[in-house]
Amino acid sequence: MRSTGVAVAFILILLPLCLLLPAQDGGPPGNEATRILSLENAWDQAEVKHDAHAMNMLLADVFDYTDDDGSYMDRAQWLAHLGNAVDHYEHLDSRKMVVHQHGYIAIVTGMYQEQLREKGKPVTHYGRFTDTWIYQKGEWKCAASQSTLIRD
Amino acid sequence: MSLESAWNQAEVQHDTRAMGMLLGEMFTYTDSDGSVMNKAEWLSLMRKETDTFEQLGNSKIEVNLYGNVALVTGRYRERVKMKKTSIVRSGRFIDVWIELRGEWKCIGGQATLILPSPAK
Repeated sequence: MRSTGVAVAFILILLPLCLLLPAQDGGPPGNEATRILSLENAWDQAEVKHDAHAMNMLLADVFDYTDDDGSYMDRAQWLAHLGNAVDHYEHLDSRKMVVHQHGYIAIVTGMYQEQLREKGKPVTHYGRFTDTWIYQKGEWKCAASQSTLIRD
Repeated sequence: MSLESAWNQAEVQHDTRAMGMLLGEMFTYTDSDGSVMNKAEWLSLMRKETDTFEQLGNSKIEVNLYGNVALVTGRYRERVKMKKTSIVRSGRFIDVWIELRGEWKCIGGQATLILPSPAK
């Protein structure tokens, strides 16, 4: 009877608590800066190549994107935007990236330069971004990204 | 959300003491002009700011919780008096909050102006 009571107590008390915890494998990851920076580079490649499949693998289930013109896209909208090849990149690179990791979350700040064609004309944009990555089920996923143009 | 409101009040009133209490030591902020600041630089800018906020409000705020971290996204609208004229700006922001020792502190944020749609 006692073991049954313990089991019932576990199910009623501990199990719901376990379900409330974020889905993470093991303890907090160590310094993951190198890994996260490689994911940032994978992001740039996916964006330039309009590779929605690759981009999809980098995103968390809930994802918020704010472009440098202030337009907002959720996960599905961002992947559709990418898949539709709206932006014609000639070049995109990120630089001066800094990873601020706090256990299961990492904030990456940096600058970007993009050269693209708008209505047939080449334009270059410089901006800054903040990407927020979360560690879930042994993988880092991007939960939010926001860009801002650098003004002269 | 109440902390986001406290942020706005502190910014409008140039209250660096109140703002300082909302920020983590590792705070990094990217302003809507693309400038980037740490905590000391952001508080210093607030202290020196001569522009007067006539209005600052947030809307469409969403909070996503990941353990002890909260991502807050939303829109802001500000009316600022610069010299003799008032200008109105709208933008979007993201703030990252972390709960440390029972207190929520903002450790990062970015603002982006909403540009007018191009004429078709």
